[in-house]
Amino acid sequence: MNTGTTPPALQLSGLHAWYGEAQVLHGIDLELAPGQVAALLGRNGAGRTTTLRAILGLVGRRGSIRIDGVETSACPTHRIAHHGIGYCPEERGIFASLDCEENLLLPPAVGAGRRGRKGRNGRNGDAGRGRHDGSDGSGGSGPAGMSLDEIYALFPNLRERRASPGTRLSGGEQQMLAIARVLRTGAHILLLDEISEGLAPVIVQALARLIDTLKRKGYTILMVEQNFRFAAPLADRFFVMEQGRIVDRFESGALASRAETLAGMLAV
Amino acid sequence: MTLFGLPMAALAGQLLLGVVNGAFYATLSLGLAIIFGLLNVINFAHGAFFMLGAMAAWMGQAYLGMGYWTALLCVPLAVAAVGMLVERLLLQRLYGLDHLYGLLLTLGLTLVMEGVLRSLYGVSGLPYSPPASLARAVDLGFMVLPLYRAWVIAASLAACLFTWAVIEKTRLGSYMRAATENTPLVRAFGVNVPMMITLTYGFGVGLAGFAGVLAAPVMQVSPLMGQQIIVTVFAVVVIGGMGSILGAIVTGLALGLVEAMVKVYYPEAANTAVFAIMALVLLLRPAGLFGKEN
Amino acid sequence: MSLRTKNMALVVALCLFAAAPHVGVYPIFALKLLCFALFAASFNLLIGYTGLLSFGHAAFFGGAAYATGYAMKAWQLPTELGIAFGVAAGTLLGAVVGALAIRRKGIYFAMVTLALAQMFYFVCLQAPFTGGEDGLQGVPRGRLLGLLDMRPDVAAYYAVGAIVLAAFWLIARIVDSPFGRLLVAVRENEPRAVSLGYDVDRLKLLAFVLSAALAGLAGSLKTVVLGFATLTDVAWMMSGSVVLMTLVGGMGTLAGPFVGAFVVVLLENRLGEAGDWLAGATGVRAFAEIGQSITTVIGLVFILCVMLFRRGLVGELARLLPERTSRTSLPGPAGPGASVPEHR
Repeated sequence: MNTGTTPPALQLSGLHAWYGEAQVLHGIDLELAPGQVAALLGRNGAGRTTTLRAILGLVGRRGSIRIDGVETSACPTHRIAHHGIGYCPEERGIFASLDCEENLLLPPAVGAGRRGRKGRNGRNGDAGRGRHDGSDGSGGSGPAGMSLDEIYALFPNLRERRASPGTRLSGGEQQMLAIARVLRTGAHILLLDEISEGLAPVIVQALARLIDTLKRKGYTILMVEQNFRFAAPLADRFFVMEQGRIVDRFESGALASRAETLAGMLAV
Repeated sequence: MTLFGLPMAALAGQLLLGVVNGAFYATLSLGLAIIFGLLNVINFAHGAFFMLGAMAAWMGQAYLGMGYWTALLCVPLAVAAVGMLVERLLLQRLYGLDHLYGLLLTLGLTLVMEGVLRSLYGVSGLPYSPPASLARAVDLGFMVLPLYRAWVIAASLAACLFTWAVIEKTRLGSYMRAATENTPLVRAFGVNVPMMITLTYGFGVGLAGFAGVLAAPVMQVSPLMGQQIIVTVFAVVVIGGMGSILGAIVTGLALGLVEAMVKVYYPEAANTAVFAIMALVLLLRPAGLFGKEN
Repeated sequence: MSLRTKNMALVVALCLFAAAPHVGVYPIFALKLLCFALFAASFNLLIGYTGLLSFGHAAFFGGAAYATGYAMKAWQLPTELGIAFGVAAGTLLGAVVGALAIRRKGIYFAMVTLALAQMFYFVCLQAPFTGGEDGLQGVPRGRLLGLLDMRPDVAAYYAVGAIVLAAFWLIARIVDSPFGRLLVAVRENEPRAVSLGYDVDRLKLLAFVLSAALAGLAGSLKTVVLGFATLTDVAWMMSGSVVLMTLVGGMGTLAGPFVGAFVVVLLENRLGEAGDWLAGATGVRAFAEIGQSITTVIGLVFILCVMLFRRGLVGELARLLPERTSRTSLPGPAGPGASVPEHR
């Protein structure tokens, strides 16, 4: 699929995953070229969220996971983000004991371009004493991590609410916050889990425009989406999951011809 | 002049002692709360680390001629180092299990620490004098203020407020607060949470060790010191609730004062006063006075 | 283990029990063992099956010990009434502590029980009828049911043994009953039990009071057997001991408490000798020193058990035996165990 010299941004081979004793993924093979957007479709319980969590090492796993060609399946979780991954979990994960701006500043810089200085040892990733203000975006091969000002320019309502406790924000604002904070880190591969869920149509449209902007800036995005109409215009590639396996995969061009079978597979 | 039937000077003196005790309760319950928040472990060994701090100060003086101020600086660091070793080697392996095991492990640690020191030094108090610069009293008119005790209160409060500031106002503190709420997500963001946990445990017990050095000149330095104070500190934590840092500080101080008052007017009940209050709080407000527990 | 094997094991155990005094087992040691085995079993009912860690069980054990001691010494009550009085005291204490402690969940519960037990310790320290630091001494053994003179050790052994066996049988019946299964359900998934409509707090309180009553029985018997009740019986070290016994023996198993009590009582009694022997055998003097310090050794045993040996002796043994042919009616030796998923 890829043209040779650049490794895939994300490559899963034979990925099995467990929650405790229960096996949830039974051999996932998945590939994303840099700058591609893929949608992970399927019914609830198919294992889509688990796939994202497996990439991050949040569940027991076995198999190969390569990020930009680097094998990370043996990495502890806190090292994986530093390969340039930004994660928006399904429950949004906004911290109640932090205010909006603290939430925004929380994830440490993981920009790929800084790998020589920062990414490897993760020292700048934790014990800083308040001097990191996000102006240290990554340079290098991926899109630059945004500075705080750029973030606020893109999400003006977050600037207004910067001192509010994280959970006092509305659902839409929380979702924006969840995305904004990973954009600040300089991550160039985004894992988005059900970002359109439970939001008003106006907000969903704004989100779609945002994802489109990110796509044009060159981000690689893997998104789990229940809302097919949200995902369809954005994704280059589709994977359909069922019971922990990928049962279908196709490019956006083939969407029209797949529409009917897809409707059947996704029907609840 | 008398107040509530007691000469002012005597009453003030007793209250001062109460505030001193309260300062210890505050510092220790703060350390306990921090450790519990992030590690989800009730550190039964907290009293033992307190005792270790005092014993180390004494040992430093007896074997190395170490002065008080040096001890105040070095001993908490040494105690923190021991704590971090314990966390790395032992506690870390228990995180996936029921809370019970963390408590039992720290209980075992307490017994070992106490037992070893007891067989080496017996149970009678070891002498440790306050530093010369503070070994005097100031006459304030309505009472005589021993300088050292005033120092204990000031230093404890400073340590507690410093801790509060780190947790509430710094980036590191925001990592800790976030990790307390949702550890896996903070790890997924790339924060080295295991290291943070080790450091937190070290800091918590280092705080206990710091309190121990402060306590050495005013309490009987003996291997039994920790045992005597830990259960009261547990009661303080139950009364205050573990959700709030300022809550732990305020509750500790207040209970020290209450205990002192009870000792003045109804000495037989002094030992049980804190527990009786705990029983009352459990009946009326089970989450604790400042508790955020659901 | 099939039912047949279990019954056979039971019969063998009973024979051993009956024969013990006649083959040279020191009766006082055996009696002490019986009392502590019952104490550990009462604790195990709470932690192994209900999943509640009580850190102040000494209050019920010691409280009943004092009550029985006082009743038999000062009021000259016959043995069975003295024991009944002690059990009543333990039960009452259990109800009070339980009612207060249940208000907090999880690990707070343990802290509350510890604090309340400590309060009780101070009360016992200062109360006039407990004899303070000296304790209640010289408690007579009396006559059981007006028939059996309890003074000869062998007589006491059989009488106490019968009572303890009956208590163990009672515990087995409780564990096996619908109530017992409910307790396990609460331990494994409390929110589920609540959503099914069970009054979980009441269940826990009931289990707590039952456990306290049995601990009280153990304490009463101990006073009758040894003739004294002291502050040691209500100290937190006693609470710690019973936790250790259950841990070493195996939480959530029926035989565990007995095995654990055996190990710990043996350890406490023979530690000095063992230390000296080890020092002699290895030439390392430190062993003799450590032998003097029960606290240190018990602490080490705790640490070892928690780190390496969580299932306890009986639990590990059960794992080595061939698979049970059918899921018997008893809940498995599950205790808070290695494969419980993390709740955060």
